[in-house]
Amino acid sequence: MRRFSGLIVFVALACLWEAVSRLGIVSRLYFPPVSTIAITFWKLTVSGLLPLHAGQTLTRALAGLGIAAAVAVPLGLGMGVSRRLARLLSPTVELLRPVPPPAIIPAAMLLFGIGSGMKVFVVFFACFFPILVGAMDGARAVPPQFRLTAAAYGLSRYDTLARVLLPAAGPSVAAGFRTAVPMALIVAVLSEMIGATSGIGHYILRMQRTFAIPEMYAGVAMLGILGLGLNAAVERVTARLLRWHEGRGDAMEG
Amino acid sequence: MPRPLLLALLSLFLALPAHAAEPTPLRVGYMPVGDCLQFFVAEAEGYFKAEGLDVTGASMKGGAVIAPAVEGGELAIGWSNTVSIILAHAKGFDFTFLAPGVEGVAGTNDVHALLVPADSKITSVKELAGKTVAINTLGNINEAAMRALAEKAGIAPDSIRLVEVPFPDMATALAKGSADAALTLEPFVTDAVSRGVAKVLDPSPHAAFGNPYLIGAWFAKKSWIKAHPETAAAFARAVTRASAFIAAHPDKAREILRGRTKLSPELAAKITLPRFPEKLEPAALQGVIDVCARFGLIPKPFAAGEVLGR
Repeated sequence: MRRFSGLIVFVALACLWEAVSRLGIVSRLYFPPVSTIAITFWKLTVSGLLPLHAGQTLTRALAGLGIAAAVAVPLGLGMGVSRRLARLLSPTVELLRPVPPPAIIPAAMLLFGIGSGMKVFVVFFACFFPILVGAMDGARAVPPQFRLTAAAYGLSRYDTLARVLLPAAGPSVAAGFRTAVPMALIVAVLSEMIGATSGIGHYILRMQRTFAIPEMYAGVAMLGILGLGLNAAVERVTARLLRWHEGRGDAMEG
Repeated sequence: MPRPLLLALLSLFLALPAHAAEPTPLRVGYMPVGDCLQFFVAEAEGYFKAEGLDVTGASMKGGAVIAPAVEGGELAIGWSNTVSIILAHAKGFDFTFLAPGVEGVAGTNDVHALLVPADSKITSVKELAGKTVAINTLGNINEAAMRALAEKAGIAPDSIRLVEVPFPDMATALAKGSADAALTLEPFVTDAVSRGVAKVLDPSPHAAFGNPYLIGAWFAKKSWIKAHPETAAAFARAVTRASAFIAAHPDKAREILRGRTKLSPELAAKITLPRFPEKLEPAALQGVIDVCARFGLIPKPFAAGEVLGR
């Protein structure tokens, strides 16, 4: 029963939505019954239209996320280990980090035009900082004796990074990643609402502009599902990568 | 002051009937472009005040954005391109045109133009197949026009990719190469062309709509007009009076437009002024409705009278 309690709330809310719309408490045109939206969603999914746009959005989100990870993880680890590097980069990072990613969309449009490049860049910008900070904190928290041990065994710099630092910082890197993933999706959709020809963000905007309201909500539902899937995938991957870490918290403290 | 007394005074104040000379507040959505010149003139010449209206304008991106604000009650009246209202009507929204806005006569007073970058190799609409064209809002009169243009040029109507770019940003989009063409309007046409950023690919992109055709008009919810017939009529009189002023004093109208769109005096003297009809003619709207139906923007055509409150 406890397992289903969440589902019960969901169903109850859906019923409430259905009733509010059907009873005309709010304009049915702007707030169509949830059943209408569900049917529309199904039709659009079967026809391949929604999956097509969702695929575009996902590709952009993952591309930006991937590039951000590739740059931010090594840089963050470096900043965590080297005080000099941290001192060099911190002011820049601290200055750029609080900038809300949507605020750079206009600038990105000027730099990259309105194509996919702009969107990937904006996603990259949004994902970069949480991952960087996660990696930096992770590397900083690695107990010094780990590195001393590595040095005592005569491990090369690369081996120290790959075998000691990265695994030890792993949980913190993963935490940064988990913050970045929903951000990637949000920002990808947002950037598609400006000067785009495809993607879920574009689709939702277009449906709103042409007063196709059930279709618009179907797009929103697709985004919800996309976000859910993406989060689940990330949870799985990080759990697998960090399996060695489970239950070792005590050993680390000791 | 003891609180009950304060409350009593306050409620007394609120309960007082509005003074006869107190103007009726009215929120109106418009676009900062030449097509909305009536609004600027009515404000500048005090026509709204003369009608006893206290109008607050909200500058917005296009009819497709203004319409939801009118539906939600945030705005009482809005300006829209006709296609957005036609689409809304087809989806069951209860909008009615209230007063005539701007009218086009293909080939003579074109205020819209399809531009390409000054150094573009594109010489005909046919070459736009597979290319990206910027329009101000999706699903509006400019989208319908682009589809009609594509068909006329012998390419598939959906072979041109349309992106939403606000009018003021279109010249930049062209210069950056992020759009291969842009369907824009005055004052941006003259501005971009005279700065050497763009050249005209098609001077009358809306030719498919018939002659003359209604580009845009002032609209409101039917229920709102029913509840505020006096206010609605007063607004309609004010903008129609502005139309007459524009026709009689084009130079003064240009001066007013210059103030509202930050044009240079030289530019203001050069731009084409839109034409503002005296009355809402169903014939001028029917052509637009038929084009919408032909390109699948609406499932089937309907009589223009349905959105003219007749």
